[in-house]
Amino acid sequence: MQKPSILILWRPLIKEAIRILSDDYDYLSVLASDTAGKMYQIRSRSSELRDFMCERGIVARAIRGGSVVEVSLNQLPGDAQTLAGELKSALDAQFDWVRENKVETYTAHLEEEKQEGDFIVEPLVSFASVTMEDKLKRLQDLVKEVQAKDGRIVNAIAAMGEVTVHKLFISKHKNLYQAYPWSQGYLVGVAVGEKGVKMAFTSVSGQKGAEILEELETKVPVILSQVDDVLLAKPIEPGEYDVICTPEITGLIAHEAFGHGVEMDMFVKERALAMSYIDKPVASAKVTMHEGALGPKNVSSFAFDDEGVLAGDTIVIDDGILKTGIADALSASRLGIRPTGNGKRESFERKVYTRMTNTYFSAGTDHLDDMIASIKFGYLLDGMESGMEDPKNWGIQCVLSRAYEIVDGKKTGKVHGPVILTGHVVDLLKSIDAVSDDFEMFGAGFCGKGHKEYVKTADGGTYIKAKARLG
Amino acid sequence: MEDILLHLLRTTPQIHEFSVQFRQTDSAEWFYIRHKLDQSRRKSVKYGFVKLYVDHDGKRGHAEFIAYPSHTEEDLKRLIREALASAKLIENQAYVLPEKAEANPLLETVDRIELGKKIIDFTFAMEAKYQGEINSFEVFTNSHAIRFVNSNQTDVTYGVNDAFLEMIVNANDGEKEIELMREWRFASFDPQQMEIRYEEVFREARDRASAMPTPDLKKAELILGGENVKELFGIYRSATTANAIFNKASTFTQGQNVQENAVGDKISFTMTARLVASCANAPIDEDGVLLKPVVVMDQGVFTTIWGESRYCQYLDVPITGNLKNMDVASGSKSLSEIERSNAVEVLDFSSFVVDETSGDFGGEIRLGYLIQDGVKTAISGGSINGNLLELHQNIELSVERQDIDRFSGPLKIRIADVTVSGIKAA
Repeated sequence: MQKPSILILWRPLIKEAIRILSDDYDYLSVLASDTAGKMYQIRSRSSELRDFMCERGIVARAIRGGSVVEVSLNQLPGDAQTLAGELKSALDAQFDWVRENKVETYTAHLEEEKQEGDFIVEPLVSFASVTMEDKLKRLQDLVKEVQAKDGRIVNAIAAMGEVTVHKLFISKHKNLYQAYPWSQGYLVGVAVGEKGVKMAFTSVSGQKGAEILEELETKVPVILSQVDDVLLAKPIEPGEYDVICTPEITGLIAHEAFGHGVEMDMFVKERALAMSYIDKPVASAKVTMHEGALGPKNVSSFAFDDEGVLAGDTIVIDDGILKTGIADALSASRLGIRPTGNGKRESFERKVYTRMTNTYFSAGTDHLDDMIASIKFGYLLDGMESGMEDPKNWGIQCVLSRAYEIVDGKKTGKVHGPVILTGHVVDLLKSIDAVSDDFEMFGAGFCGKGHKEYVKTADGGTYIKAKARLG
Repeated sequence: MEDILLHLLRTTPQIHEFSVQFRQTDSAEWFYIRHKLDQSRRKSVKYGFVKLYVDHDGKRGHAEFIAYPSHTEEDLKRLIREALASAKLIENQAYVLPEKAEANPLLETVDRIELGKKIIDFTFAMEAKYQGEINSFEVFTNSHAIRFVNSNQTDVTYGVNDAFLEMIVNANDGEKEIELMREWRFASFDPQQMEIRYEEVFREARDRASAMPTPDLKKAELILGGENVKELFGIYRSATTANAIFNKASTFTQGQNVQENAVGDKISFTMTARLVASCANAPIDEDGVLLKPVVVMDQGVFTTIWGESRYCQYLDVPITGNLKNMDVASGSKSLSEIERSNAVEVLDFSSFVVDETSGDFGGEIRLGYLIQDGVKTAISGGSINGNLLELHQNIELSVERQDIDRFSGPLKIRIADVTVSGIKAA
C-alpha cells in the first residue's frame, strides 16, 4: 500500500476555499501535488541516495472575463478562509495589473462536466516492501558484475529511481484524486579506449514498483555489448542511407517528428506546420501513430492530467493520414475543440503546456529479418541520446549512439557513432516501407518544451525501415 | 520549519555533520502570443535542502531530503530518522565538511513586476524598431533569498535575482514562414546589450527564411559564437573537475599539456565565484566552501583540479569548491580574422549537443552562413559534428569578448576539420 499523502488533509481545505471564492471568478481550480521519490545510485567508487522528482504544493488557476492568471504556493495556511484570502490577493493583483496597464489578453472559457473520483494504482511490488539495504545491495552487485566482466570499464553505474505521484484536482464541478507509481533503472558503463572515454547506457522503466530491479538485473549483457560497440564506433561517412530503426529510435522519431508537431498550443501560436495538413498524407500508409496517457502503461500514464481532464488515447496519424493533434484545456478552448488530456506541468510551480504522454507507432506485419535482408547497404540505428523538434519547419534532429552497418542483407559487425539523423519529417515518414510486428515502449528520458519544462514521457513502437540522412 | 529543522539537526546525536540550504523563491511570469497576453503567473515557494552525514566503520554515508513548509515537527523527525538510516547504508570514502565560512550578506531587492513590465515594453519597442515579427515570448523575473547553514557554524545569507526571456521570432520570404528561438537568462537588464541581441535575432530570422540548403562539404572550418562557445567549453570545465577525475569520467591529469602540439590558440580559463552577467554568483557553494577564483588551464596546460569539497579531499588536492562561472581568456584573432573565408558559421542549431565525457559535439543546422570569397550566404539543414578533444590542436579564439550567464570569454571561435553533412552536392 502507498503511504498516505498530505493531500488527504488538504482536500477539504481546498474544496472549501474554492467554495468561498466561487462567485469571484468565472472559473477557479486548484491542482495540488504531493510526489515523493528516491534515487539510489551506485558508482564504482561512490554512492548516492537522494530525493528524486519530489514536489509538494498547489497551483490555482482563475479566469475572469476570459483572462487567465495563476498562482503557485507551497506554504498553505491551516484554514480555508485564510487560504481563500491569500489566493484571492495573489490572483486579483494580476487581474488588476492587466486592467491598469490596458493589456490585451487572449481569452479562454473552460466548461466542465461534473466529475468526481479517486484513481489509485498499486504497484506489483511496492517500493516499501523491498528494504533500502536490499535495493542498494542489488545495485552494488550489478556494478561489481559489470566491472568484473570488462577490464576496460573504469566506472560502472547502476541506479534506480522510484516515484509515487499523488495529485488532487478541485474546481466547482470536479473533485479528482489519483495516486500511482513509476520507476526507472539504468546501467552505465564508462570505458577507456583508443579514442578516449566513451559511455554506454541502457535503461528500464514503467508504471511499476520495485519489480523494476529485476528487469534491470537482466540488462548486464546489454550494457557489456554496448560498451564493446561504442569503443569500436567510428565516425560515419555523411550521406543518405537505407536504415532500420530499433523501437527505441522509432519512438524517438514519433516523439520528435509528430509528437511535438501536433501539440496544439503550437496551433494557437501558429507555430505548427501540421495545422495545415489535417486529413492530408504525412507518412507512409504503413504508419499509424497514437498519443495518450491511456496508451500502453508507462511512466506518463495517469487517470487525469494537470487540468483535471481525463486521460485519452488520440490517433494522430491513421494509415499515413494526419487526423488530429493533442490539446491542453486552454488551447482547446481557443481552438474550439475538446481537450485530449495532454495538459501537463513540469511541477505545480510551472505553467501548463500541451505535452506528450505515451507516443508510439502501432505494430505492423513485417518481420525484422526480412527488413534487414532487403537492405543492400545501410544501417541499423540504435541507442537514443537526444532529439529536438522543429514543429514550424518540420526539421528533425536525433542523436544516436550507434549505427550498425548492413551490407547485402547482413550486419557486418562494423559500428559507427555517434550519429546525427537529420531531415524533413514528412520525407522521413513517407519513406517508411516496412513496419515490424514487434512493439516496445521506453520511458527513461525526460522531454522538454524548447529547452525547459522537463516532464516524463514515454515513446516507442516497432522496427521501421526508411531512408534517412546521417552525419 | 526553519528553526525547528535546525534545532533537530543540531540536537540529533547520530548526525555527525549536516548542511541545509533554505531557499525562498518569488517569481512573476508573463506569457505572450504576438501582442496579446496568454496568461500571467506568480509564484512563492520555500524549501529546505538538507544533507546529513553519518560516519561508520571508517566510511562516510550521507543522505538528502527536502523539507517543505507543510512539514510538522513530527514529519521532520521522521525524515531525519529515514535519512539517518539511509546514510548508514552508504559507504563512501571518508571526508569532512569545510571549516566555518563567513561572507557578507548580499540581498539586493528588485521589483519583479516593474522589471517584467520593462522587459515586455522593450520587447515590443525592439520589434517595431527593427521591423521584426515576434510570434510569442515568455518573461520570468525571479528573486531567490538563500540562507546556508552547516554544522561547522557557517550561517550565510545572500540573494540572487535573475530574469529569463524565451522568444520565438518569425520571418517570411514570400513562400514559406520560418521561426527562430532564442533564450536569454540575465542577472540584470542591460538595454544596450539587449538591443544588440534583438537586432541580431530579427536579422537572422530573415536570413533563415532565404537560406539555401547546406552544401555537402564533408569537412569544413567551423565558426561558433555566443552560447554555443559556452556549451562547447563545458567539455574543459567538466574534464577538469575532481568529480570527473575521481570517477574516471576524465582522462585529464593535473600538469598535462592538454593541447600539446597546438598550432592555434591555447586555452586558458579560470573558474570563479562572480561574473558580471552571471545568475549563479554566490559567496559559498552547496557544502559551505568559501569560493575564490581558480586558474584551471593556462596556455593549454591543466594546472588545477577544482570542484566539490568531497572529491577534492578524495584526490588530496586543495579544496576549491563547486565554482559555477567560467572565465576564458581571449584569443589572438580579431573577429574579422575569425570570420575569414572558407568556413561554415553556425548561429542556430536545432539543439547543440555536447558530450562532456567524450568531447563529441554536433547538431542540425537551423541557420548558418557559408563564407566563401568574402561573401556570406545563409544556409540551413544538414548537420555538423566533431570531437573537441581531437580538434583543439587547431582552434582559434577571438579577441572580442562576450559576457553571458555563467560565462565570460571569446565572442567567437574557429575550429578546423569539422564534419559537415549537407543536403545538396557541394
